[in-house]
Amino acid sequence: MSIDFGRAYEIFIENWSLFSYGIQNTLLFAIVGTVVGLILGLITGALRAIPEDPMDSFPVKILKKLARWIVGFYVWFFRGTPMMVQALFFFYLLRPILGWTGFSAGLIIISVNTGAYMAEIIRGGIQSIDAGQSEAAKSLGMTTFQTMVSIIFPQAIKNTFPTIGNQLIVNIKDSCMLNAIQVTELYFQSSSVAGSNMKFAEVYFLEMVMYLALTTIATLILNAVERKINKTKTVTIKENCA
Amino acid sequence: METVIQVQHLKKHFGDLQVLNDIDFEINKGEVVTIIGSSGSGKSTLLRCINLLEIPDGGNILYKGTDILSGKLPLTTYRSKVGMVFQSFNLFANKTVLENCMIGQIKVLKRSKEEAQKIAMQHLEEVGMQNFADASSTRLSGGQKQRVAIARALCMDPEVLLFDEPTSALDPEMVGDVLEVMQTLAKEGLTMAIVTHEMQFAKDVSDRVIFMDKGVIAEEGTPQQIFEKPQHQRTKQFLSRYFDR
Repeated sequence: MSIDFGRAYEIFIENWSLFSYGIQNTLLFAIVGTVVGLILGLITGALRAIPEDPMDSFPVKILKKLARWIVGFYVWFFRGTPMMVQALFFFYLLRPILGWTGFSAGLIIISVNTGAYMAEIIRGGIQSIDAGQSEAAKSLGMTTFQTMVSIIFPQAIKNTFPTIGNQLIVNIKDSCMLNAIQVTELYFQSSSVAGSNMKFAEVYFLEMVMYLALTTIATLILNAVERKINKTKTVTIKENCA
Repeated sequence: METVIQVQHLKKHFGDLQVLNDIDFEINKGEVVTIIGSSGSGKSTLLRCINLLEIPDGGNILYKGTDILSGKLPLTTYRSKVGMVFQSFNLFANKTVLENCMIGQIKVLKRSKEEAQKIAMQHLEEVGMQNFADASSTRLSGGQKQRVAIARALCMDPEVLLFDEPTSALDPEMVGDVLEVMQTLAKEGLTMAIVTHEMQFAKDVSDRVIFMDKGVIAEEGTPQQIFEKPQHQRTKQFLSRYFDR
């Protein structure tokens, strides 16, 4: 039981083009999955958090109920099954109709899967905001949509940013499950390199170092962004001399 | 005198609790109406019903003759004409003071950014907060927040401004600043309905005082009538706690 670090380094240099291609795809899937997932989460989380309004007309009431039921099912299903199984199932199920590649199927699956987690994160974020915020917006005559977009979402995103950022870290790692549908991300590439060199421990060691590097850099960037959005604008407040 | 808001047979209950029971009253143009009464008498609920933050169970609310519950007047249009100042200020936490005053103008009244900014600055000056325009709204003291909230409501050019216990959450030292602003607005002829526990202020500023008790209007009249010659036993009891000390 030992790792030949010298050999590992050689393999790393020799196969850098394969690894870097894998890293690019891993980052692409993680970022697209997180961003699109956040958008899906904002929509679905908002649908779940909007309270029933007694002023709604009957069809609106039915629509709201239906929307809440669909979102509930969506979250239940996508949080309750492994992403790898979802990827395999939907890839093969829809391939005859859509004729899609594993690549495009993977992008959609990771986004939809992340969206289910984001829906719950955003719902919690929205519910944690004081009801007075939306009451004030309503009292100005703003619509529910305007209130959501201008007042509630910015605060919900700010309050839940650490949890949202955590999803990016999760996606960097969990995108490896998409190798099951032939997505050439970092795990897929590493496995091919390992297979051709027959140096499994060395290659998987390299792979772990690369994942750690990606998640560490992502964490540092997220921390910097978090500091920035938490910094309240500092302005010099002149005392009122009037 | 033109009636801006007319409330007819208004009813509201929360569960088994009848909070408003057959309320009738009106707010006329240029008038300052204060609503007094002990906690739980339904004052705030009445004000919140007028702005439809609470939906009445029965009765009508007419805005310049149009029933606002009929759907003939879009709810957002109605609300933009009826401003509200809250006990807990409710400034938008993600916006600066100036942005708080601009957003309604831009989103609801469709004013240009330049115009909205100009109007916002005018009203911030009116409440003495122009020097704080770029400050984050979360960084202000309670009294400052409430003055910004008043400016925010004024920016919409409301036909009537509703105040829901605007000074109840303030340090005693800050109360004066806010009341001063409201007094000036009253003098300028702004139509206002104010729920308050500041009896001296109510006496000074009101054209009409409404005393509420257990979900009904127990007594209504000029400040002289209510504060000097109250007729109803409950009104006398209530006021004695404020003035016979």
